[in-house]
Amino acid sequence: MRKEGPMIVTVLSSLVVLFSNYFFLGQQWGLTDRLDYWFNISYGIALALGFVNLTIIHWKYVQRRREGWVYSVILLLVMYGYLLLGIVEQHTGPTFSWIYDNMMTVLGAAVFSLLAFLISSAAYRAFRIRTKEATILLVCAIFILLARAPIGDAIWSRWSYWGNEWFMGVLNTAGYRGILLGAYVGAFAVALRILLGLERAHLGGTGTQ
Amino acid sequence: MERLMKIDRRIIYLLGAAIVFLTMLYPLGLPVAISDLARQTYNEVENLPDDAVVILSPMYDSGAMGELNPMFVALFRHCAERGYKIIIVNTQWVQGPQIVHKFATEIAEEYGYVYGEDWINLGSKPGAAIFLQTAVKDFWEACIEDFNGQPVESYPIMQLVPKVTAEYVDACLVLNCGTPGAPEWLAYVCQPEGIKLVIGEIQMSVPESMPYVQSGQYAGMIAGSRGCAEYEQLIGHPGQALKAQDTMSAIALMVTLFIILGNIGYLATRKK
Amino acid sequence: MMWFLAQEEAKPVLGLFVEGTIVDIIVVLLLGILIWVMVSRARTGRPIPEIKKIAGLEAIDEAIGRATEMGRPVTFIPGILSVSNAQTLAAFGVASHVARQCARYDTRLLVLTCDPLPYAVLEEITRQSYLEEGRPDAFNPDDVRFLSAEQFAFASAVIGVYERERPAANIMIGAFYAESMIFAETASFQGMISIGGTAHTHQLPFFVAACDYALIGEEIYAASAYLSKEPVLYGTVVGQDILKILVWIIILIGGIVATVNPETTFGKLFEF
Repeated sequence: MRKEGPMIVTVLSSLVVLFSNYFFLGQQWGLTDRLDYWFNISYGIALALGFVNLTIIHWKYVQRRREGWVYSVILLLVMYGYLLLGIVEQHTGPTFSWIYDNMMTVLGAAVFSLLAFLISSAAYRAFRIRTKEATILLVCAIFILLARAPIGDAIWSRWSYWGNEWFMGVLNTAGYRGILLGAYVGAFAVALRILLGLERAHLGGTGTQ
Repeated sequence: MERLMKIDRRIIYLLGAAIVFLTMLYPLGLPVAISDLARQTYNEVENLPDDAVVILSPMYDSGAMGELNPMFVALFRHCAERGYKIIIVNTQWVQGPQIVHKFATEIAEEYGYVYGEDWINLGSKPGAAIFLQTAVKDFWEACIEDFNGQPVESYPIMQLVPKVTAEYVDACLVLNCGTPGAPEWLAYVCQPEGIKLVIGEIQMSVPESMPYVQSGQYAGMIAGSRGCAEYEQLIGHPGQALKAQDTMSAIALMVTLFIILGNIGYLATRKK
Repeated sequence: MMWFLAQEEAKPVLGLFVEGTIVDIIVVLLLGILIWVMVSRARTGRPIPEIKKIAGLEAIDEAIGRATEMGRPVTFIPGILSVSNAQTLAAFGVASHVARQCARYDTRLLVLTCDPLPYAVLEEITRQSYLEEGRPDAFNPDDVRFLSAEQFAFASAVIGVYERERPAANIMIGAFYAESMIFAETASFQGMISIGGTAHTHQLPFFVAACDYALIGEEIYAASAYLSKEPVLYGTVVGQDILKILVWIIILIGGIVATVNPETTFGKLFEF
């Protein structure tokens, strides 16, 4: 019953979604909305459990003075401190917002901006004319790279047109549509495999029946 | 020659950082050609009725603000110039409305826009699909309160929009960088309700959104930083995106040169 | 420009179905039948078509083998979205295989998650896999980690794990966004063998450029069936491929018809 119970819940939920989306009566009853509410509630509970779990794990680290236990103390202090501040001030409070704007926002932007550097080194490392396919990839990459910046037009006035409008709009879109179609059919098949109980990886273990 | 294949990545990073600073200090001023897509997007916003109500949704966080903040500024300014009523709201991306609030306040002051009458920031709402579906049925119930914690129905602008349907809303302008994003607005609001959807997209995701533009599901798209630079020129207010184009050019050139160097090294060593 | 107009009053089609879903239902039934036929053939030992070799999936065992030889851990990241995303569900199948292999070769496996729900599921999958391989004692719950629900905080935490734990292999299957490049490139600096797979087309170029092996789009959905070597699951992939061929034929016919007669109403056939 350890696996059968969740399996039954999975199949029933899938049938409710199917009924709600395809059958007029199901749509009128708004069953999918209800399921979405349930999902959000379960998500909230999972987050609360994670909160408790994190506290227990890091409290143990502190008690046992495990390597790096100081970071656990910092984590617990920040987690509970910010939670309390949020409860007292709410999310529009000046201190709460100040911390969020000047730490979370800035740190997030800093990590994202690493991408600019990483893309440069990855491009340098990856685009080598090793094979015919790699050569095509390299030529396309350089063509689009220069087309997306005004330097392309400075070299040749039609660069941006061919790069941004024809290349992106025709060749690229055709390729993307192909990949997307395949991916959607694949996602659809996974959903059906789960609905039919053929795939059970999400319940733990080997993932086959 | 082998050295060309193994240039230390720190040299690439240092050079990249130097180029960013230098081009910001000494801009080259290369012209940015305006594409048909930018013109189409501009026209879609420009040709809304004079008393239009638009939803401007900053569906992003700090990671994408470098690219999407200038788009927000350009779209907000364009709408304010045309005299549209602007409602800022998003779902799930908690930082979005917080990040854009100061820009919106500054531009609103410039155009004499009154908060609660001509524009409003409803903040970020949880729920993604549930929020969007509820907004279609009852916008007030979906939002409850604005960014400042006041009940939404207390504002005159909200009296104009009891539901997010084509009857009350003329266009949704969604700044997109992930999930949930423009596809969710399309699926739950714009397509079923027949509301025009114009998006601002980060460069990385432009190829993915292109099929939606071609099918007409997105009426227009500001395509990355370059697209935003084009849009800024069209509205006659050059901004951050246009300034960034010289840096983009220099970096693109640098990366191209490194790729070429790497390949020269590769070919030379392969022949040996 | 095609626009999607709001429906005035919803009415059931054939007294039962939601308007616009008939074709969807036919496709669901068709795929169901195809899968059923193929699975039945597989169960009774009758031949079913072969699936092509997927280099990225073949490389998983090789990567784990390399980590075993070097005595260093393997990392697995199931993307950053929750269990409601099909890519995350597909990642669970791969996680199960990776956990079994690691248990078999006594290699340490670090599972790094960005969402509380996949964290809980993956802990169970890993525990169960170790149990099934007869190594419950080797399972360490601390090695399945929920690092942060914030995208870039998660990215920094993963880089930290790479730096401290020095894994030899890095397997990333699931829904990734901007962090994909950060993971793949940092893994490359560390000399790790990287296998990346996603159906997010905007991240595919990064995986193709920066990883040793990349799984493109639908390949990640076939992964669990492919890795399990179970004929029954193979059958489902074959069924899915036949459906794809049917879709391909419809697109081809539609393309020809629309080219010959641009005013065609062929597309209307699929709007029911």
